Amino acid sequence: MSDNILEIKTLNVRFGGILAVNDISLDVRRGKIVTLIGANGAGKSTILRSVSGIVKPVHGEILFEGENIMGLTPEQIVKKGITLVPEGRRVFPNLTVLENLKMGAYLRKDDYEKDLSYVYRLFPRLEERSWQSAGTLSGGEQQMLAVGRALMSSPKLIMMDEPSLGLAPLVVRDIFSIIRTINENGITVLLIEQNANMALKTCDYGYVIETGNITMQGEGDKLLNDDRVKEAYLGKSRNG
Amino acid sequence: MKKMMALLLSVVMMMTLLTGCGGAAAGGSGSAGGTLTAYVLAEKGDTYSLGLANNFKTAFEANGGKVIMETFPTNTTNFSDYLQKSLDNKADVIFAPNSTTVAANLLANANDLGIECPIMAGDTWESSVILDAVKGTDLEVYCSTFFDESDSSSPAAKDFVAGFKDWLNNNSEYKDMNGGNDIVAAVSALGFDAYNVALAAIREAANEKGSDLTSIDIANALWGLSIDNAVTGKIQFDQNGDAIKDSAYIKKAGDGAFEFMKVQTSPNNAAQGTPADYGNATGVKLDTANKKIVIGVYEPTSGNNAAGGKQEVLGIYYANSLDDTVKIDGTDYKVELYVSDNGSLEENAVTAASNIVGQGALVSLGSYGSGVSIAAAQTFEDAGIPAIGVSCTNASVTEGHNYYFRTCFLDPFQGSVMAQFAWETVSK
Amino acid sequence: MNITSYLIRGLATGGQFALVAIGYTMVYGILKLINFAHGELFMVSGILMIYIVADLPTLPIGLAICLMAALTVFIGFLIEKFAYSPLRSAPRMSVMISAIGVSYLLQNLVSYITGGLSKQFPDIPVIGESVRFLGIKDKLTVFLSPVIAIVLTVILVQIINHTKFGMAMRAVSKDFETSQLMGIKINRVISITFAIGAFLAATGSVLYFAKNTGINHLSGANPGLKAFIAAVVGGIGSIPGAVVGALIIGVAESLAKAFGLADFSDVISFGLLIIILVVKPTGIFGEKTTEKV
Repeated sequence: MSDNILEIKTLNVRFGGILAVNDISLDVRRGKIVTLIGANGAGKSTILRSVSGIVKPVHGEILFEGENIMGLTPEQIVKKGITLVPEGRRVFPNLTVLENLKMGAYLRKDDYEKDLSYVYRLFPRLEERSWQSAGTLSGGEQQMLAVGRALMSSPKLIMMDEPSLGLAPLVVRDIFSIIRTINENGITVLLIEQNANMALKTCDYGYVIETGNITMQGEGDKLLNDDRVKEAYLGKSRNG
Repeated sequence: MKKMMALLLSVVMMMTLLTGCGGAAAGGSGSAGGTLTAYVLAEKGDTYSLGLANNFKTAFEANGGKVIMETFPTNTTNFSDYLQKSLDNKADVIFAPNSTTVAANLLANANDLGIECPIMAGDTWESSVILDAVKGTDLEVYCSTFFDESDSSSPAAKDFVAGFKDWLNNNSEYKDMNGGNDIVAAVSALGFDAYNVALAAIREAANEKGSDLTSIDIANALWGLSIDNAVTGKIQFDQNGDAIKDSAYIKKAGDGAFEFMKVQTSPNNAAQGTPADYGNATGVKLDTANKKIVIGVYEPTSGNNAAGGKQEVLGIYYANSLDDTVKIDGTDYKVELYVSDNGSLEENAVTAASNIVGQGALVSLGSYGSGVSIAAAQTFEDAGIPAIGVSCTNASVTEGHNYYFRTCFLDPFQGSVMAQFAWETVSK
Repeated sequence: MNITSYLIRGLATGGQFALVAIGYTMVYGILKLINFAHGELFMVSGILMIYIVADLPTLPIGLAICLMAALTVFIGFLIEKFAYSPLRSAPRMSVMISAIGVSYLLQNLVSYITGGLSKQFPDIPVIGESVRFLGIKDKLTVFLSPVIAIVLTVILVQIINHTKFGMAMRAVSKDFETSQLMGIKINRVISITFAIGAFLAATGSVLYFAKNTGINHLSGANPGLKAFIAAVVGGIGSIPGAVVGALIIGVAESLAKAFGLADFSDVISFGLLIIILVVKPTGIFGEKTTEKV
């Protein structure tokens, strides 16, 4: 069809009458890293949650590989090959690391051993701690687990909601390098970040979202050098 | 702070546990002797159950027996731990005057535990629930009641049973009222007695006052009455207006039916009462114009208690059919019955009683059920008409109601009778 | 005094309550809901057994029990579908009121059908037989109840800890949304949780009513309340906790009767509850939860 793995067209989401996402359209090209940046509450998370089927949009279209997936249940969407690494990691603290990873492969009927060893190669730390309960991991390790868990569903598109939130700078760098590795291995990435600097450096294409509307879009380095973006997001991210 | 509270609570718990323990130990040592032991189990907050249980305890202890009494909270369904107590203490008899719901579980538990001693209760156990529970077990279960048609000890009862059955069989309408059979209900016998008591009192009053008699004179006469050959035993009224009963009928739950065992007597020390002070109440005058005497029958012929109410009415009808004229000052007065249905409901009580008053009744009989009787007491009192309760067993019917009498025993009396029966049965 | 007999009967009651308590604790674990209708479901399963045996006298008792368990599970499932599922995103208080409503509905329905009269539970072969063991004569169910309760609990815990479905259940109990993102069908997990709870309540009801044979519409109230206390004492959400809590409550109440404190047996249960809540608010086996707002 097209090169776009995901196309969102005039998406509208309301929460009790309040418009959270207003006629947003965006495309994610296959094999690329696409990022959405914007202030807290701009509607970025809502877009990802709509794609996952957790939030029901008012109208619009969400095309995944040319097929409208709006209105499907979360588990049907996971089956299609879309996975979301939720904000705040949301690992299952009462399950072991290994069980968390198995949860990622919950819907798979095929053998996922290969993916497990792939995840362990990406995050050797997780293999060391596979019998530890996830609640005892550090924040960075939990983020790795959340990403690893998402990879276990062998997705075509991985969406990440603020993967760097609350992590130490060194860990943040690790996470972004992992994102690149994942992408190099053929998985398309849709990334939300408040850390606009890192995000724009990593991505191929970016969208800037303000209060439910897209205000700017372009290649990552272009946005990185845009004055308005610099003023609105990059300065802040450096301070914050 | 939290720890402190917890500590305090646990100390309190420990102390209650320890004191309870001491009590039980003391109880245990006593049972070693040769005295008879009864285990009594009553339901907390249940006046009927507690009344019977306490009277049983008093009477059994008066005989020199030992009583272990326990109460259980409402909605208890498992009685094994209670019954185990009776085994631990080698009880010779169990007295459990409780509802049939309780009995169903209790008897099943008793069977499980292999209880061999007799289990006794009051009149509520004269029910098919008990027969079902006893079926196929070796349990020995007794209950008490007001009257039994198999009682052949008194000629009055024998005559009544034979005559009443005959009368029922000759009047299909009445037989239908009796539930389609000719079984003599205890309440019919009580109704029969109540009518005769009323007539005896009217005759007594007529002897003294002639045709000037009023309902107040009848009330006064009731206090002094003594009827030896009533169907349900001797009738005299104590200071409350309750018949001084010294016997009850014991039945045993057998295979599919209750067997009549015996008439059990138990001393009742209440003395005959003296007439209440009726002040200058005028009451209702004798109807000399129409030469008739109206007796009100205040009974439920509809509602929940209709079946029992009708049987009571039948006893009264039958008595009326045998004896319906009173000679006063040489003139025959015809006794007419006026039946007023209280519908088994307390809210109907005043209307139903007022209808009786409106008919110029000199005396009222009934009712089946204590609640409706209590609710009508004031109406009868205001009119100055004596009321004779038939099978209302609650103490409050006559307490504080000078115009209310009754021919049956009170609930707790069954406790004393059963204690006596238990004593005589187990000491054999 | 024969303490053994009180201990054994206490463990029996405890075992029977444990099977009910597991239902409370599992539903709480998943939905954070005290399913007040659970005690009534326990009573309903006893009533069902009576009517099944009365209406299908030719049915072997084993099959009757299976049919009763299946119907109980179905009712448990219906309760969830109609009373709780529509309120999934409503405040917790609304769901709780719905639970209380269901509990009264079941009570009233049964009282309508039975006319409020006590019905006799049918004789159950084997567990209803009287046996003598350790010098105590009682029905076999008394001696078997704690054993059956513990065996079923061990099986259940194995399922929850070592199967894919058990894993999903644990995941759902912590995080609905993320579980959905994993592709778990939340409603199915919840339905199955109710089904397991109902099945255990049905098992408990056979063991319990084989001993306490009179059932009316209120017969579920006391076991339900005691099982709920047991679940809280053991640590609500914890399955072994519910069982231990129930055994403790059962034995404590039985011993109370042994020491002539029958009047206080309820007080002792609630006293225990207060002490546990003061000393360890999460219950004996409860885990510390830092609830996210």
